[in-house]
Amino acid sequence: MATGIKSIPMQFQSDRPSGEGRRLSSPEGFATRNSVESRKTLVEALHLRKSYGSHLAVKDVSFSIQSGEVLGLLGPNGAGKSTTMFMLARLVAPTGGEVFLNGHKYDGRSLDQRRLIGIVPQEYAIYEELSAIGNLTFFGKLYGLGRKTLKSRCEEVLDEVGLTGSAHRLAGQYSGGMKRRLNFGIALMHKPPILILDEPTLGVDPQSRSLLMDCVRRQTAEGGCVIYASHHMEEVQTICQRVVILDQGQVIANDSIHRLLAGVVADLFLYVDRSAGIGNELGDLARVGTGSNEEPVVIVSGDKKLTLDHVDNSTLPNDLEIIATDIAPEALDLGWRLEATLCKLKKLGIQVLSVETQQSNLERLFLQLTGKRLRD
Amino acid sequence: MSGWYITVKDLLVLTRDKQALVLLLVLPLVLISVIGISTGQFLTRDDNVERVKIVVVDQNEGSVSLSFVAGLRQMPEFLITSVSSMDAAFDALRSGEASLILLIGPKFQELVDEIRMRDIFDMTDGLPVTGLASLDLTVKTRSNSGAIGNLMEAGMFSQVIKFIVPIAARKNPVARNWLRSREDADATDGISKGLPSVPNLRAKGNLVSQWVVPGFTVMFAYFLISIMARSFMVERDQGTMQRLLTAPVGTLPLLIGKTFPFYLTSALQCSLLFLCGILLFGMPWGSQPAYLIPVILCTSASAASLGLVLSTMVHTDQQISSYGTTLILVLSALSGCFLPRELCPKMMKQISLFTPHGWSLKAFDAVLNHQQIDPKQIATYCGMLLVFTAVCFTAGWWRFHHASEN
Repeated sequence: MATGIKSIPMQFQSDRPSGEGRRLSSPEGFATRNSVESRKTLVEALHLRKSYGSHLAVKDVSFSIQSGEVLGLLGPNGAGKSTTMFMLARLVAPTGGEVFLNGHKYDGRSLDQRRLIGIVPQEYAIYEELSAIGNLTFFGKLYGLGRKTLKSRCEEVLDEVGLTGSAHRLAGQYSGGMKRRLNFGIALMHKPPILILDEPTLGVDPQSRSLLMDCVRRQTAEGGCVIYASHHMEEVQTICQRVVILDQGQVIANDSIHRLLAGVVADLFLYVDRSAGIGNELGDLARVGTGSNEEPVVIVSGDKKLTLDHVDNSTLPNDLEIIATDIAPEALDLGWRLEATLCKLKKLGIQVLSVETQQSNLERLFLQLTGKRLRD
Repeated sequence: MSGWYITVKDLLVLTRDKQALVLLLVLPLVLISVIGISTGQFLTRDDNVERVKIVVVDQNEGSVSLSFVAGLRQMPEFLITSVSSMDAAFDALRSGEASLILLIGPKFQELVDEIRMRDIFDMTDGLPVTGLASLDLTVKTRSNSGAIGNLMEAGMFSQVIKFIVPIAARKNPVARNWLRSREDADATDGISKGLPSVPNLRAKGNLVSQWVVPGFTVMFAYFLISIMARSFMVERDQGTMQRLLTAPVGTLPLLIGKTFPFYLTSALQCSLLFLCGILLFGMPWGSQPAYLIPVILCTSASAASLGLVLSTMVHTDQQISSYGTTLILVLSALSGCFLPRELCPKMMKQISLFTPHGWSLKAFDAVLNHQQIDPKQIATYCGMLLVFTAVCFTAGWWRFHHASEN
């Protein structure tokens, strides 16, 4: 029996076909403190495919994750996220493609390679009939932790996930948040360099979420990497440096969040005084607002959305009070656009009551890429 | 070692799952006790349940008929009650207080007096050719007693023959001399002493040891397949199976670790049931009870491995309930857990050998009910159980491996 935690070797001979990893990596993709050169690829998925009968759940998924990186794995329901994660952890055998862990091909047979992975399933993957310490001890033993290491590691993990005070209570008596934290803690027991998290904060309160986020940050600070699957876009935007978005079993985006968001339109809302009358001036405003004659200004009145180009000014509703403009940030800076619009309005004698901006975010990007069609 | 950790964990989980414990340990004890009570062999210790209850209506009331009834009373196999009228006798039959009515007609003594030795020697042409009616005797059983009723009637006829033989013999000079030469030639004594006793079932091993305890022990041993399948399903549903599969534990240690707790539980359950049979029912445990140990261990091994196969086949509670219960009941019924194997048709006995239950029952029967135990025979039975274990475990391992890969 092993007496301590196995650490991943810093130097390794890669089994990966030369050149393929370079092609897939996106060095600009993660904005972090460390330089790209100091990082190593911990996980690499190459052309993963999985079919269930005639249904192709995952078509051709490739990506890589470096040490110190949190990769968000996003996708609508049925996009193939879980299957991809299961293939990474070798819970499911891929129909095609390969997985490399720390440069070595991984087919699930090597028990040593299994130590590289810590998995946090979407379910409360804990034994409710055991206490927190019972759960941690059991899984610690499975990973070959010796008695002394086991004891100290249990204490550390309990402290990390904030369960020291309830360590001896049966997990079945825990609240949802506590169960989530224990679920997370079990994966940390053997200090795996690769953490695979499937909706780890599902249904937890902000306090527990914050604690779990800290755990993720600690993991990357210590040189590990995290694959973070979630539908909480805000959470992913906060914690991940890079995202892979899957849809219908294919990668439709794989880049740093910063770069991906740069291509997303932002909204500018101007609340104006309609009483002064704005009539034909709206046409000029449209061109100012968008910076392009081709992009229409949208006038919003209650639930109605009217495209200015197709509106007869005489039919404009009297209660019009919002002018919304879609602004393409890459065309022109949002601040400048706002300033220009305000100047134009002033010249037109239209009084601006208030201004609202809606920044581009991951959710907007996600919907833009995957569409709003409901998925089964 | 990893397998052992899983075993310890599952034993802990199992001991904290009160519902499973009740199903595995308490319920079999309750059921076996209920069956014990219903067969009159537990608590009440009512020996009368094993006796044939006979209501006698003696319309003759002569010295011979009184002597005949007195002889029947002394037989341990019969429980005799005399009533004065046929109505009362039929009431007793209808209410279940009696299994058989024996009507001794008014001509009984007269007809017995007419019996000669030739009538006995020539049963096809002599006086008793018409059976009981030839001596003015009538036997009534319940209309639905079928073959058992016929059997009781035949039994009564044989008792009558045994009774009249000494009487007829006294009328024959040669036979009379021979009878006189015996100390107990007295005809009256001869009635009781001359009647050979039916072998006492209790002396050989009663219903409890022949069927109730082994049959239900074997059935309950296989009951754990449902509990085991549920344990696998819960692991899958709660996500802990994902953890086990990603942990550095091979498939074989994982499956052994998951199976072993149920094996131990089954062995404990079997031992408890046998202990219960011995302590509560006074069940004899055979001439060499040590042989029970390998039989119990092999039975439990085959049950646990069958449980493994089921665990890899089912994915929902409904599937466990339907497949599990069907498998348990069908195999139990095929193998003869529900009724003594002796009563099973030959074909069923042969079919039962395709089930592990059948071999378990044969092994228990060999240990409990045979005075001379043949170690080779026990080894054969246990070997067959181990073959079932190996086949089922391999099938379970293959299915688990295949399922986890896909």
